[in-house]
Amino acid sequence: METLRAVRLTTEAARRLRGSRGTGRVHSAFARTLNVELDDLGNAGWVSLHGPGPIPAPFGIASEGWAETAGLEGAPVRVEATAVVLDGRLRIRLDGAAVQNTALPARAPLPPVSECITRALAGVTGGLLPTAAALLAGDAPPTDTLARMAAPALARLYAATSAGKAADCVAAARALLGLGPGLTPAGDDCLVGWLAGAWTAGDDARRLGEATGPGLLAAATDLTGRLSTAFLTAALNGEAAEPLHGFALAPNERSLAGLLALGATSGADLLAGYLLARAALASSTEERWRCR
Amino acid sequence: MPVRAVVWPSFYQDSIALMRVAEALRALPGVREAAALLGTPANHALLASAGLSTPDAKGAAASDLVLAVDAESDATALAALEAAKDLFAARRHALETAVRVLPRTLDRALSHLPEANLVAISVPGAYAKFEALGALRRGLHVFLFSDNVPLADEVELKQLAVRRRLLCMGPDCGTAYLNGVGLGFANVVPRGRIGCVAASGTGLQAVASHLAALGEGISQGIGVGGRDLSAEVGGAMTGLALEALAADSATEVVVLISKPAADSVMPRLEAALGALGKPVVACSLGTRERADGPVRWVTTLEDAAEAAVATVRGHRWAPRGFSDPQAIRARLARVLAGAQRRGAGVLGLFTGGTLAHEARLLLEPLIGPVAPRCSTRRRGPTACGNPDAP
Repeated sequence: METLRAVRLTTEAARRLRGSRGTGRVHSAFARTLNVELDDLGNAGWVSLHGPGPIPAPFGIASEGWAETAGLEGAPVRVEATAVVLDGRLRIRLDGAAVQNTALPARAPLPPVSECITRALAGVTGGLLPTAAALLAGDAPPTDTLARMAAPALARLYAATSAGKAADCVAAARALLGLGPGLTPAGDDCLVGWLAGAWTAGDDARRLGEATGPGLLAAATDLTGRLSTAFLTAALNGEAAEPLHGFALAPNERSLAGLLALGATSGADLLAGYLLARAALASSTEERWRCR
Repeated sequence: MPVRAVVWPSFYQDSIALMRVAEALRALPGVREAAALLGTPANHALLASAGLSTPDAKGAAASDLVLAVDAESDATALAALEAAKDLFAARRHALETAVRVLPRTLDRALSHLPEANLVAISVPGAYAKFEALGALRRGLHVFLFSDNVPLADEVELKQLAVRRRLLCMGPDCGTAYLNGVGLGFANVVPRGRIGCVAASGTGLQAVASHLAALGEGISQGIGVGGRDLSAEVGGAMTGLALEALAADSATEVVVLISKPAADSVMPRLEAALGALGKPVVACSLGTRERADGPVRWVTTLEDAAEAAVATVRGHRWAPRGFSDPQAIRARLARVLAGAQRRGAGVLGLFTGGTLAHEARLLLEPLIGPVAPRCSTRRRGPTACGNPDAP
């Protein structure tokens, strides 16, 4: 059996493994990622295994290397005290792995919104960031098919967030759920970012995000895939992928680059949602000035 | 407008794969538009809005992948959808190959890269022989980064390498350039027509950088290890490397960079250089002055680069004096006059044995003996360096 050594895992992944009944199955296997569903934990039962580098999921485990993953889809998973074993083929050793806290803080610094967008747009095409950027700048949205469908929903989400109306936020989110390219569609990534933005913008904002939870998850079950729903569930609990967590804590050029490196446009879409929420929730004059 | 679509149930691919495949399909001749999306309700609306919806596609669920193509003909659309399978498979294979990692054994590594013909080895010196022997016995060239390899091990390895006509670069080989690929601490320099054989690292780096600054590049750069020209090793790898450069069509001029060869090795080295069949510049640091014959002998790394460039361009070349001896003596006198404190001196810090050795050779005629290693007890002008450092 091939063995990989995990080097880091998020607090949420550690908690899920501890709380599992010890079995699960491989949902999907990619060249650098394995998504595992632990039994009986529903949307909060996902754990993802990754190769070296920043942990791209709030319930992720980073290993020192990678292995042959073809054919592991659907394979049984066994969780042991210090390892995760996949179908008797691959053992992920957890002993010695550092636990990385990726829980979002209750209040994080407001990023320089326009500067972040300018930097991000220099290297991003596709996804929802260009549409969100146009909305925040008061410009006309792009004219591609995705932007035409997303722009009204993003505008509605921004307005509902500013007004603190959870029901309207859910209504706007329904049009974004499952929208766009990607394994986790761009609209879903944007909503994960939006939830993270709400979580980190203070108590009132976090309560707004939490209030959308039941409606948002119910809609997600109908409108998007299970992996996206798992990400949304984690976001509702204030758990973030490591690059988003890093950006929230210290929004600077380096953390922005790390966030944008996530997936094809996933990082940019997370950023779009995060900035949209933070801009909509900016309360003081100074904060609003930083969002210009 | 023929629009064709297929649905692959529960076919999960990462986001980058989905987007890259869609891009690749769009780039195919005769394809106007293509999409690779999960079959969520929002994406069904997106496909319809883009004119890519088909009755087949409408049946896709949120966990299914929809591939849709708008092409100039049915045949083109169907061919594009068929090509998508290969694109996904190729991408996955490429990524798995790229990140296939941390093979624990040489055989394991070779099973993933069977076409490999060179192994870079960086294990503690005591274990290097075992790994290097394994590589040589499998017909692989060796780049031996490990240091502290016993001399007897080096002799054994190189004897085997010579018998098998394989390069065994090192031990303690810090850098090499082979067919445009830099190994170890290789500088980013242009490829070119000058081939180098050097001990282990900094000398080759310095000459390669000088060549680049002068507008020329490296064809091959082969490190042979700092002890290769010793009596024990007998220049085994230097000889093989010179043969390789002689046979290399990209190499027009050969540069040898080394410390002095052992007396028992020097005649053979001179004979090999003279019979190479290509112009040779030899920089043997610390060797007594030699008259130029078929080989141009120089005394500094900078001269080696400049002489090689002049040779390859067919220009005349004459050595330059190093700096201004009178000015150096005057400056040294000022330093010593102001050095009242016990232990004051001049300290040279080098990150490379060859550079330190060269500096020492240049300075000693001007300022007298130079301590080769740091010593806080020594008084007077001192240039320090570790001649054995890579």
